[in-house]
Amino acid sequence: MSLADSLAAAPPAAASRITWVHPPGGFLGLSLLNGLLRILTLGVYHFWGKTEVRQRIWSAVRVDGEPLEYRGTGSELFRGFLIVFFLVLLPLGLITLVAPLLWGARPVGRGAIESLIWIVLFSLWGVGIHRARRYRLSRTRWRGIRAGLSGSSAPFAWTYLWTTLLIPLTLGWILPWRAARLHQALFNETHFGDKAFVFTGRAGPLYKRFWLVWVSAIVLFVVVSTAVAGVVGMSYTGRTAGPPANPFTWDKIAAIVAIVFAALLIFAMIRAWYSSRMFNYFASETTYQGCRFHLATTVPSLVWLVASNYLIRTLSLTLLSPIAEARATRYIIDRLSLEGPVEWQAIGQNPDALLTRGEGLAEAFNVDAF
Amino acid sequence: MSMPSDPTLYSAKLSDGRTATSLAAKARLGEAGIEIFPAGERRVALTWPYSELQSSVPLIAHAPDVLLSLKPNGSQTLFVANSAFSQGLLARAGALSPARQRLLGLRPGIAAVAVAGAIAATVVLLDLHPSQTVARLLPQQTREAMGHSVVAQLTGHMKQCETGPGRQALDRLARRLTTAASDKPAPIKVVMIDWALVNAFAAPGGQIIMTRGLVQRAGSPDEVAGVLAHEIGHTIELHPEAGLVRAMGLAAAAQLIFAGSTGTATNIGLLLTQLRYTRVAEREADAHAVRILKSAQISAKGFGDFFERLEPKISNPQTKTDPAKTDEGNKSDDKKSTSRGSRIFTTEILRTHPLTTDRLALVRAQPAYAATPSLSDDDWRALREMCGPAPVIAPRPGTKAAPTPGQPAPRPPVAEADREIAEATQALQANPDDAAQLQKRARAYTKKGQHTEALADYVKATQLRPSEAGLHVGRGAAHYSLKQYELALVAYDEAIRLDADNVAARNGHGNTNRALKRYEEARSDFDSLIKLRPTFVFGFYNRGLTNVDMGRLEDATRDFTSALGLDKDYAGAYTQRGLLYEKTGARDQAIADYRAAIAAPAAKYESGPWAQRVARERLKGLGVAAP
Repeated sequence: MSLADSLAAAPPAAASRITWVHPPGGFLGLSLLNGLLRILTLGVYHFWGKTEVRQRIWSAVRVDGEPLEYRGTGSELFRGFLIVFFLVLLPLGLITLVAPLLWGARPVGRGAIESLIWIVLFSLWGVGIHRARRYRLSRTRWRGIRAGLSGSSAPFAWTYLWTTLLIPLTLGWILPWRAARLHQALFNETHFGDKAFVFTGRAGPLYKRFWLVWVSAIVLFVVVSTAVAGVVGMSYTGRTAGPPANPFTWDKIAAIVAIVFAALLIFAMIRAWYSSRMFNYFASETTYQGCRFHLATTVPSLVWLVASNYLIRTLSLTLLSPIAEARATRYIIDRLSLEGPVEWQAIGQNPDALLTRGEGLAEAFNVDAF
Repeated sequence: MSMPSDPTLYSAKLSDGRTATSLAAKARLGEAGIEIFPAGERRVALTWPYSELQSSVPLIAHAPDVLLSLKPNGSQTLFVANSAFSQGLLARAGALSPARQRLLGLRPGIAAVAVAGAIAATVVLLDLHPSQTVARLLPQQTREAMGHSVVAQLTGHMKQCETGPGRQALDRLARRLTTAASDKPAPIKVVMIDWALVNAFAAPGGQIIMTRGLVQRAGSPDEVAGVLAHEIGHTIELHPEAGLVRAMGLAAAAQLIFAGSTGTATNIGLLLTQLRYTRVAEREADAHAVRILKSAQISAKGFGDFFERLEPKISNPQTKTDPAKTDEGNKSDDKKSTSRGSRIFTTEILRTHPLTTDRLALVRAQPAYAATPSLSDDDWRALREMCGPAPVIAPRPGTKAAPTPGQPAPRPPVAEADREIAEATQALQANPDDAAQLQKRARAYTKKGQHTEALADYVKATQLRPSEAGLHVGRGAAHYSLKQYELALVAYDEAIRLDADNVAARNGHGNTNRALKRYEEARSDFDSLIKLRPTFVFGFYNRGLTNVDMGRLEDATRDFTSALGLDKDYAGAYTQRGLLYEKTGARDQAIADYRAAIAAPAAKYESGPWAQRVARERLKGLGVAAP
């Protein structure tokens, strides 16, 4: 007698609920403990600590009352980091250190080396994003069913690279288009079980809000530059001989800091207005098995989330990053819903090769080092 | 140890891992494992042994729910939302607890610490020098290239001095020392940079940097030879290369340790510019130095003299990110102020070469041997002037007496000043850009009270030698005398920026602030001055005057008393203090002070005549006979 025979009919489907159930104990104690153990082990425990944080966060996300599961391990993260460090970071680091010492005299050569290094870094960054996501999805389960990201990293990395290079050339106008393009590249290949997500979003609706972000960035930059120049330049009036005695007094520095800070704050709020629209729009264009997602972020709450998370991270010197991570996830989950019932029985197990005990090189390169 | 089975049936959700559905089930905590009954079944369909369970998060005693599967990759999952179940399960499957899980995760970390500790212990116990070994493996070309970069980085914007005779003198000295150093001397390149700071350091690839300040501060060529021999010692032992290798290694290790937790800054540039030497390195270099000096038949006394000349500080060397910046922040609290010149320039060398009494003792313990001077007189002069004419030493404190209210400065013999003006003018006709002559003439003009002419000369001199603090002091004084107080402040600020220990500059700055009625600033100037040079009598005198201006009579009295403690012949201080005593009603003390003022030598300070005149007047006013 198989389990399938004793399948009890699921209750008539209401819309699947996505909820957040905060873990008992929260994340503060865990953050501090991880920090301590990290120091005691010269940083090695970091990967196990990160894993436990992810387990806790995943487990707080409930669909129809049952939690997501994170099956990644600390050793996988550590292995991935070592691979990336010794094959990529260390050689690059050595080159950047040694090259100026050995060939620093020739500026043309050095410029070529630097450009090459930047291109390599950007490409690897794209690969890293894809691989990290693939790793995380492949280690995510719900009711035992795996999620996954199909496709190879190379096309994604290529798209990432050339769209990044176009950002300065288009003075930033490509950003919404790029966001939609990259989001699509990732989501259309994202699976839960053997069924894929579908993303139908376009960049057009984004531009309606983006233009204001772009204009305000320029305006703020000009305003801040003239204001700062005014503050600094004030010390040059009235002196006829020699440089001023005190070009930077404390009150001038304070004024400059205040101006820049205010400008950043204003820009952050405008950007949040745009981001909120982008997140909600992307979610509403994403469907799974015909059911549409719905995300209801609002600008004030988003601004508060970003600002408070930034403070949490910087004031704790990243020690309390898990708290920020959990808050950000909770924020999304609390506002995320799925319209319509999903036919869970129609979804089979993800066919991607399971991680076997003796992992192959391909698996080893499914790194999540960042 | 197995616990009795718990007969309770808990509600659960079971998924088979083949589709994304879950069925209702019941679970029971059996003896050997969890017994699972799918809904409606009476028989146990599955038993999951406790030893093979894994949970989605480490299981705590009162977890409201738990999600279980079988190790290592079970796709079937069991979800039980009951804290009693969690508690019972934890008692039977202790491996699921957070402590046990974390312990598993700690194993690699502890292993890493053990390995690192073993490596460190090996290096220390076997007295290995890994960075030095690596440095030795580098080819000479690489070392020279590294050296070029380091030299460029540290001295980029400064001029290298290359006058012919000076260069030859320096090369002769270097050659004498390197041939004495070994039979196969490695090529050494000595670079002299036009920098007032006193310092010398070795860069990779046999390149040694010396500063103009060091050469001009030294009292004899033997002192320079000693320093150069010491630096050659560093080069022989490959200390600069090893230092760079060590810095890079540390940076890579830090990257490895901290890269996992982003946010820790590893500033490689910071490490690279820290050319600091350990005590061991210093000892080795010293040993080479005395050996080389002996072999070259140069007396080691000069080497010792040089370091004694720079007042030794046992205080901890401060971290410096860029030795190329002059240090305005270094206010040393040295109580014995024996040096006459600028102290700030000397501590730079001490920061990169920590001096201890051991080192000095070693150098001094060298037995005497036959020696010849390291450079001929001509070569020594050429070396000192390699970066241009040697500057005249800054005016000694005491000649810049505080201007007193109301009385113009008495004029010394005019004839001598005229002669100096004539001499200087003649010399300037031959070489109009001779800063030393300009300074001489400007001084003479000042003595004659021709401040406008003096100012013109000082301005030109400071344009020629902008890093010479003494010239800015002169310029400031000229502005002050012409009542151009704002400009005086600018000049004194520049002097202080160049030479934070320049008492004349600080004194002038304070006086100028006082003239501008900025009493708080003046007071703080004099506070710094006193802290800098507690034996400088004018610091106290001028601060006393400022305190009088601010109405702080008690402080002023204390200051004048301190001034008199430094010099009991200071008529001006007596009179000022007498005035204060008189104001506060201490009549007898006032009379005593006035009498002392009259008894003191009149010509010692510029305020002398004024002090005595006022003292006599006040005595008359008090109805006392003047002596």
